[in-house]
Amino acid sequence: MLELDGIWKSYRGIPAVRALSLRARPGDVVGLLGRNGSGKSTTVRMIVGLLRPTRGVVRWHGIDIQQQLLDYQAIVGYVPEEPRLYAYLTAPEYLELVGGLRGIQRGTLVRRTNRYLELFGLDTDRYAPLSSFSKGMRQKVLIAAALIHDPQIVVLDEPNSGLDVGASLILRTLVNTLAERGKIVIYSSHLLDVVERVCQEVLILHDSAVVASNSVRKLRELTHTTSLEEAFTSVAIDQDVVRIGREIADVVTL
Amino acid sequence: MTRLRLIAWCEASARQAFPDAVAREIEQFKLLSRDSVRRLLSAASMSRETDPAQFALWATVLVSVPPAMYAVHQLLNYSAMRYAPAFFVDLAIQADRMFFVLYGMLAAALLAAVMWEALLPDRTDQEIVGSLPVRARTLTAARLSAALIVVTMFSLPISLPAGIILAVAAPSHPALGFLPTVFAAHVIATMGGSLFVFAFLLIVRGTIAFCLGEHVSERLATVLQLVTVAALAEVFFFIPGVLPAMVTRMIFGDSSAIALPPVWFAALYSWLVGTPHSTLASTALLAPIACVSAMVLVIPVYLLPASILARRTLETERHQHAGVISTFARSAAVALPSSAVVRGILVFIVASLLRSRRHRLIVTGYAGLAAAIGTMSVMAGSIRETIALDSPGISILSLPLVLMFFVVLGLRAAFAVPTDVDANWSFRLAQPPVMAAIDATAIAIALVGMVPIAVAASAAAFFLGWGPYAAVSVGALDLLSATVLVECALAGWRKVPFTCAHMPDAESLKSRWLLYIVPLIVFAFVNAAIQRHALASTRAMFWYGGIAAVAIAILHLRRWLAVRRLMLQFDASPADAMATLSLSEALH
Repeated sequence: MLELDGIWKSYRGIPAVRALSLRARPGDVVGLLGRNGSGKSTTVRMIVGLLRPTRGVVRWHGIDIQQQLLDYQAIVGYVPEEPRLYAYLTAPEYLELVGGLRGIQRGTLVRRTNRYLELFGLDTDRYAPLSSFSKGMRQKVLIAAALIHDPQIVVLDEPNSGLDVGASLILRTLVNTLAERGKIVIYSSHLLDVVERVCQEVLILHDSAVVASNSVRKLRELTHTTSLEEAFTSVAIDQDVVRIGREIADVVTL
Repeated sequence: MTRLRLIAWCEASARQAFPDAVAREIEQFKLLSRDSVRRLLSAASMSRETDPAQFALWATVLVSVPPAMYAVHQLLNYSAMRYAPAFFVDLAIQADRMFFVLYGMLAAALLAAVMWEALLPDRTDQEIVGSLPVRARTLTAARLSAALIVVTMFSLPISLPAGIILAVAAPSHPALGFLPTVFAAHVIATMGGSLFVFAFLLIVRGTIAFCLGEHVSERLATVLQLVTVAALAEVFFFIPGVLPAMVTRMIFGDSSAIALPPVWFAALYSWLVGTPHSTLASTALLAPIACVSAMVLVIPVYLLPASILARRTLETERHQHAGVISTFARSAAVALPSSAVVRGILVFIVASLLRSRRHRLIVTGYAGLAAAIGTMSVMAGSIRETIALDSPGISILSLPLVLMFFVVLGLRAAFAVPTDVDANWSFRLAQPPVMAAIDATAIAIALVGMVPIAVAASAAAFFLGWGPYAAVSVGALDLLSATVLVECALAGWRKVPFTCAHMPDAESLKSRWLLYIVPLIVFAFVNAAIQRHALASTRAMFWYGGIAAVAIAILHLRRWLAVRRLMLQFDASPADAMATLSLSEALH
């Protein structure tokens, strides 16, 4: 079980995440929702071990991940928010680098790489450097790299970014399939309808803290709303969005 | 088949010899080392569009040709010295050895300067590798080994050809040494010197990154490149004058000479070949000690703080400091009576230039050449005793002009390389007029390069005691000259700087630089002589100003006529180097 126990993260004394707790069992798909700067990506980076919490612990099977970081990272797959890749590598080279670093045998790695490229429709671009890839193509490479070692925990930070409709639908099915196979999926996104469809549990972050944490159905019931979007708006949006939208349109009259 | 079996046997032995965790770390280290070599080459290539392998090949050829040519030249000289006295030949060969060692060391320093930012894993590396089960020390060790591989591959072509040529020359005179010994000594001394400098700079890089942070480290890269480019250019001018003096001091064991690292490796060279000077033995011993110490010390300096640096890299938020020049340029842009389009492009140019390390390094390279030529000019003046600091002389007046000439060329070269070519859609969409783009480019060159140099020249003239009138006049004349130069340099310019795709032009690298020698002489040295006369009388000053103003007006008008119906250029034009006889057109 993956457990985040009251974790805090501060940068120069300014908290980016405050007292966040979470428990996820195999087969759970947990959604992280929040506005820009609410602390989603920081949380995700602490879950994958890129950042160390200032306070609190992230536990895997009851042990602090910092005490078993390499073993823990070996069972985590991560799709970062920004598609950072070595731009001079080709997609197969990148997947082979990541797979190699994860200790996958050469034969298996080549087979998996070829299959991923085929399924993601990147086969024809196998000799092109990643610098020539579109955002969506890079995202597909990152998803393949996150899954190539059969991880037990899959952490997706804005995975739909740049993906076309077809690829987004495939991703949704992929997440459900991974959950059925007993993986823990952490899904951070702005897309409320997608989160509503794929996640059983949702954490809503606002101003670096969790303002709601429950199943989607329970959240709707508690906030007396009919959709996750309405529930999210009621707990995490403290602005008059209609007024601000109109004022933005009026700026050109200044 | 035998090779495959051998590899399989080695792998099986390695698996048995090491525990799984260590074997995996070794495997990760190998993978990351291979990738790190590409990462370093990619950092060294100035344009993102440049193929790093091609760039590395051409740069290595460019740097390795001068010592090889010098060795060929000396091969002929040694043949002519067949019957010369041994002490005479010994002195000549010692100076040459010193040159090869010094050149190799400076080339290694230059390499460290251009790869500076990638010598340690950066944020991108940590983002990509940080979430994988890879220790920070493995990544850092891989980068360190890749850096050492790159410097070895870079130093070998500098060292080997000259070593072979000098070995061939060895039988010309007994004082030159025994053929195979000369070759081995040349390679050991020059490669040793290069590795020492490189390892020393890696230690500096690691220490600064740990103690003072990345920002200071980045600033240091600019200074380091300026110094190494200037020193590389000057080493050729110093051959006849300074090197023999250094050699004499080295032979007599002068303590000031022994403090210089090139002397240690030159002494090692001579000691390996066999030298009659017994004092060189102790100096020669310093070379391997220094080299091995640097190579050993760099390992803990890199590896011990690896995890702290990795965490710091990920947790530090990136800040872009505007800087004094940027603030000045922005304020000046607002104050200038130009259009909104010109102001917008100008602010973009200045911000891009000051925040892009690659582009700053291009300009620094040119400034380094200017520093070398300027220093040489002053030294030549002082040797001939024609230099006078208390009144305007050609040697002193030419200094800001040389710097302006190279800075204009450097800025033009930097502007041609895009920062992020995919982001140029905003300019494509807005399609600003060509004239506005060129005006903004000219103002940017003036603000970033010309005005600070002219102000510095005025200040220097004032502090040298030329009087306030002469000080202001020097600055004004320099600015007028620079404006003419900028107008000439921007002839044919049709771009917004940093937005046009760039195709590297190998022709400039190979031969076109020769075309700049005459303009440099005219602009810097002939112009300095004219300025000296202009400063002597008010009438001459007005003539100078009047001619410059007319030239600027004509060039400006000519430019306006040439571009008024043209659109901005965003795509690279085919490089001249790729031009053929156009035989393919016959197929259509």
